[in-house]
Amino acid sequence: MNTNQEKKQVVIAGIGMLPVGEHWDLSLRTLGARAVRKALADSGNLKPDAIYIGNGLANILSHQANLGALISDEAGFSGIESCTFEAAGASGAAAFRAACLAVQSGLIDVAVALGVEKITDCDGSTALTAQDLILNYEFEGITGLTVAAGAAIIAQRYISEHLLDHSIFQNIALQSYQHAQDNPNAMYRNGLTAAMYQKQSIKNDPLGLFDISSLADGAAALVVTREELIPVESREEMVRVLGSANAIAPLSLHDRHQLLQYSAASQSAASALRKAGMSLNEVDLFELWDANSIDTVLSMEAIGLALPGKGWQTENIILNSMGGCLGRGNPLGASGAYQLAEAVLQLRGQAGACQIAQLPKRALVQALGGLGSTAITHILGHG
Amino acid sequence: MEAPRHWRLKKQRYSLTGEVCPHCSAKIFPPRDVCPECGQEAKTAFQFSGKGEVFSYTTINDAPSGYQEQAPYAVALVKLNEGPIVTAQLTDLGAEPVRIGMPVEMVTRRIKDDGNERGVILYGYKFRPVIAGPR
Repeated sequence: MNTNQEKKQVVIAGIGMLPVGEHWDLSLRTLGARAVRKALADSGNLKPDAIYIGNGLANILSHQANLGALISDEAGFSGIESCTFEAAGASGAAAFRAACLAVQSGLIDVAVALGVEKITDCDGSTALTAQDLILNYEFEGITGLTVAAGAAIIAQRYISEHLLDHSIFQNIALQSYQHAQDNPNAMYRNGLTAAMYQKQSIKNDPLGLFDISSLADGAAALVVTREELIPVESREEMVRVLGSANAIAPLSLHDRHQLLQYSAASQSAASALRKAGMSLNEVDLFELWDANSIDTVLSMEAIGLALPGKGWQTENIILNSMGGCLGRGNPLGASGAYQLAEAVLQLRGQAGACQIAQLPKRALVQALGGLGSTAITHILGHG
Repeated sequence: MEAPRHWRLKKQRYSLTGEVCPHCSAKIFPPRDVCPECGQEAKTAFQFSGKGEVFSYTTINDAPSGYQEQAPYAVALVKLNEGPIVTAQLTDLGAEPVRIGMPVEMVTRRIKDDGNERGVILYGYKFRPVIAGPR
């Protein structure tokens, strides 16, 4: 037994989430600070040495940078280390990975990873335009391309190459909306029927309203520490971080050698599994990115869960059990933190009506930024 | 209106000037310091013909700020005859439906204006369907 390695084991001591939605009455700093305090309360009031913040759009939508000082002070922790991590949709996951690395290094004992996004301070079109920042501005954004349109261009090629039609996306949407019904933090809790799906307006051919997640306000936080700092009697129930990896691919769609291969998703998943010493068939629960349904399809294929052309067949795995970005809503830079916190709830057996029947032992959680150009994967588990 | 940036990119926007890698002969657009094919330094200018075909596309109805007057419009990945893929709006489509494989050619068009702030108009490449014979 490698005791030194065991001592350095990163554990998740607490989580905190606010409902995703339109929080007209809450500002960026209040959203963020409340999620931090919720997660710390859940950890038994550990005292943080550092707070790492994942955020995508505050610079534009809230005219606010320097979130480390703003939010950590608001949460009552003046004097500690804090700064922001940005990786588009994967920002929350990037902050979590930073927290894990800091704690594992031994330089930090307790770190909080916060994902926070405040979308509704502006009108909807301003928020959508801000989201397009994640594209290559000089050669994509300048053409009038949007993120959803970029996803649609990938989807169009996918359907054409594999001789399919847009109905392949229906099950992903129906599944997500069904799971979100029982998630108290989800934005869409009224379900979705096949008839409603088929009558949806097509936003960017071939993707419709229900294939594209809605941007919304949200904040979620996780407290991480080393196992050695947790009282022995509490260690057994702690969710551990078994693997973590970040990989990038060309940002622009036109620079990708294979448009239909999410190579970053593939590399970061393989790397995280390798660090966990696990194979894919040992994973009980998957949280995969679904900002646009084509993201899920290509993630399934990239990770090795489906053959090329079959990534829309998700029936055989437990996927996005609390609704994902489509059903929960997509607070961009916070979504990666929601994914992780939701997986922790499932692993703890605390997911309420969303709890999957057989208590899962291993979860693979992957966040994508910028149409698969950044992929951050974490493997969480017990024991 | 970000004058330095648009000035810097004028050869790309007006004449599809990219690069040919002196080491592996890969054609590159837009130009970059490191060849994406072989990883060595790329610096030899190369002007593309502007001919290609639609690799994939979509239609944009909810346009971002600065593009709303143009909506709905089609944006495509255009595979140039020389190899690289370019992201661009399609124009002059008429009643013709866009399809993957459709032959297209570069034209210079108004990309956007600054909303009458100073009356500056940005021009650059779009692609239109190729029609047989001179036009």
